[in-house]
Amino acid sequence: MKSIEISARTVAEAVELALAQLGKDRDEVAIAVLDAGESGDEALVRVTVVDDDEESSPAPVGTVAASGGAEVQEIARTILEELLQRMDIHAYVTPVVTRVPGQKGDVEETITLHVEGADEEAMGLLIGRRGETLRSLQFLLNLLVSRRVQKWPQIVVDVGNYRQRRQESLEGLARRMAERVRQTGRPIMLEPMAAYERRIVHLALREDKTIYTESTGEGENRKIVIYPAKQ
Amino acid sequence: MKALLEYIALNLVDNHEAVQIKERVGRFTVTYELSVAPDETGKVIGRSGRVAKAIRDLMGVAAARQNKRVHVDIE
Repeated sequence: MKSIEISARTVAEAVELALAQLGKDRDEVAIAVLDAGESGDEALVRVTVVDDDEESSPAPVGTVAASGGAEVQEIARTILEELLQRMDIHAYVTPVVTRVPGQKGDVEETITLHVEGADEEAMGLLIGRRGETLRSLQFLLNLLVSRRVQKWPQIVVDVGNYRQRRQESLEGLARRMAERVRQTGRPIMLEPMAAYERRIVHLALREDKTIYTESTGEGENRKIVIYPAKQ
Repeated sequence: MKALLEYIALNLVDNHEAVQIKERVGRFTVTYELSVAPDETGKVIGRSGRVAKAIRDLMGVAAARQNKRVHVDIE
């Protein structure tokens, strides 16, 4: 069974390169993300040919296809493609499975569906203001998939690597605002953010002992305040 | 646009026969009235309207692709 490992700037690019090298389509391979490349590193993926012509019987393949997540992954991908098609958006959907060791020695699987298309305007629409539409798309997709598989699938949808870019820009914002708080000695209140975005900011500034961060406000209006460290 | 709403609605409820979509096309705005079986309205609205919001957001994308605005009423 043919299998290659390839690294590139993003997971989607690595997959694209691997497919080109193997001369295969997405539905002919199993994709495993070895490194999602989130901390500025390059992404590393292993792509394994599922239905090799040389083998008459479709052999059970790699960790991805063998796991129970494979079925969920296919259902999710199909539903997302059907939604996009009805929104009149032409894009490619690449499912990737990331595995991290869980708390009890088990393995936690996350399915991420990467959406990519040439039409920048369409991709922008899909993301929406501050990722609002992307959140809705992800929520509705999980809901639709959950009705088929009888559990909440925890699928992540990303468009044109938006989530990673957003994380980087939030970290940059956090550091700039922290610097300003340090210089002026006055607290700064950031604009309202979703829970996982606030988490990114808190984490980015956790090591900085000259300031500290707190969340304030309720629900949609919850935001972070950066304070100078107490003397 | 209607195909998107229909797809979402049919995949959210069990009683398919009760799904009805009325479409009113204006010059700039398209209005949809979605109705489902009375005991299933919760499924298309969701807790604090979360499902309804998601449906409206996606319908907004489909509408923007045609340079229109869209209004989705759920009853």
